[in-house]
Amino acid sequence: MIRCVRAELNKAFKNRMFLISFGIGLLICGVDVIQNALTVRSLTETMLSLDDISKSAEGFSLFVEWIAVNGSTFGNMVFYFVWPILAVLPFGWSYAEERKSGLFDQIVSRVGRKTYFVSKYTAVFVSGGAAVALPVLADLLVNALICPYCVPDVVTSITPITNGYFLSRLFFTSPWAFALLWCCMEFLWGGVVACICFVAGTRLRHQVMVLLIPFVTLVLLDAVCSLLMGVGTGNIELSPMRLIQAAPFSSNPRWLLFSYLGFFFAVTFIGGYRKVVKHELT
Amino acid sequence: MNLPKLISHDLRCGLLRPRCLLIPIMAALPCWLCHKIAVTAGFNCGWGGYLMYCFMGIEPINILDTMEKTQLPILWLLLISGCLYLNLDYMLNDLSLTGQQIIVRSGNRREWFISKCIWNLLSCGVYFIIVSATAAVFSLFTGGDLSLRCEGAALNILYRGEVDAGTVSSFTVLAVSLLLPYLTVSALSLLQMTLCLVLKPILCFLLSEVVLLVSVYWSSPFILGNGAMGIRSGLLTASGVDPLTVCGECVAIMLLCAGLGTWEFKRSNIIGAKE
Repeated sequence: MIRCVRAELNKAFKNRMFLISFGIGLLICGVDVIQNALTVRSLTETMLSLDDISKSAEGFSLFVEWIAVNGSTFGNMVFYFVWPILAVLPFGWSYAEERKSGLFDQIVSRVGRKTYFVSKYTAVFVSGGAAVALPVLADLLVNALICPYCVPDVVTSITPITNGYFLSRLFFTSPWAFALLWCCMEFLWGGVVACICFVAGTRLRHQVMVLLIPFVTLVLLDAVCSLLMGVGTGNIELSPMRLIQAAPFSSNPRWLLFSYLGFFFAVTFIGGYRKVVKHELT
Repeated sequence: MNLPKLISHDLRCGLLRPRCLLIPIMAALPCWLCHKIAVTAGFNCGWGGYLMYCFMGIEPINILDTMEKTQLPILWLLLISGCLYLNLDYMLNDLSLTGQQIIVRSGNRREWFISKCIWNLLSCGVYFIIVSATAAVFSLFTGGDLSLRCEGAALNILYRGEVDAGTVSSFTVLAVSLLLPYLTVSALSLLQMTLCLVLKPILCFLLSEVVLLVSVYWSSPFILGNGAMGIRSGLLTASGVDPLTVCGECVAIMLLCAGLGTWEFKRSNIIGAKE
């Protein structure tokens, strides 16, 4: 089993599509960094002209400006719209491809269905998570070179995280821990969404349709959630498309985040297991 | 001359597919929100009102305003991307399966690709027909009339006072909410199909989405996507994008895609081509 998992992980990380996905993610984060750099420069010029003794805008911090929190830059908008595509690009296609080419039968006859499924699922999950989390982490680190480091101020209006948000206490006390934990959350989101391809791959034949199923599903869910906004939902963000951000429009309580992740994990793992291991495929 | 035969094959196999059932669902979402707004404001929305709301879009987002959280027009993006998604795989699928046999028998690659371009334009047309039919059904069920005319007061509420038009005639509604979006989406879809000859289809789709996101930020007739937003149309607001420029640009892109695609397809190696 371990050899098989290692082989699949090797295939997942050493292929052109992972590099393309990672490259696109970095490019988008680069746009975000450039915009932040311009904001920092204009703010610094303003503060210097005011001859302010602190030489820094109140509440303006790295932890408010990095891509997962700012919610306003062009890079943020693009990244958090196309992230389901970035998650499936590295290895989401592999199961559908192997079924179509017949490689699936070759591997299954040697290692068994269960081992094949677990190793493939692990590789798709890890590569999808890495494709989403690594650019976000890189954005945080590069922004740290540009934006001022200070603990976010709870009373300023530019701090988007308030009471009711996941890990909000940690955000105001230990922002580095918050940022790193949030990168782990993004890894989980990227992983479970990439694995939706597994369930789709058992039903659909067209590879590109399989790859776009997670994106279409999440955009449809986002549209439905935007209609439900304010209809008995309280002040809670419901759309998974926005819940992946650390600071969505409304609060993102822990129970909701882990319910979504658990739901997606259960559907993809159990659905995939039933189809790949229990059923004879044609 | 095999072109008519090729076109009839494409229309038979690629025009009405089970996935078209998704279109009414995608179109019903903005119609539902429009109905909610109309009920709250106390007016009855007709067919024209629903169509205008479906392709409303959004005012350009100020990229320099980084202190304010922004929200994407997700319903508009869903409606435009839906067509691109549904048309994405047909050509490649046909290229990798029976399509190769058809190319060999027709003996002409140029006609095969032109047939795919015509199929693409017609498929976008079918998409818009289903969207407008959904809006019409929605209008009938909610007690609205089947007129394309849209009252100025209703439009003002739906467009949040962003346009300075009075009562909008049927022709304007037809142009703003059907013709211009159709041309824009057709141009994007053809561009996507042509790019599929050199790039992986998922990357082409990603590129189309980025173009749409760029159009959300910048209002210019030269960025595809602006033409499909009613709120930015020059027919409704003085500072909007010129509809004739949009039409010209879309037609130029379509012709360019057909020309470049034919040239690329004639010289590409299709043996062993796969998705």
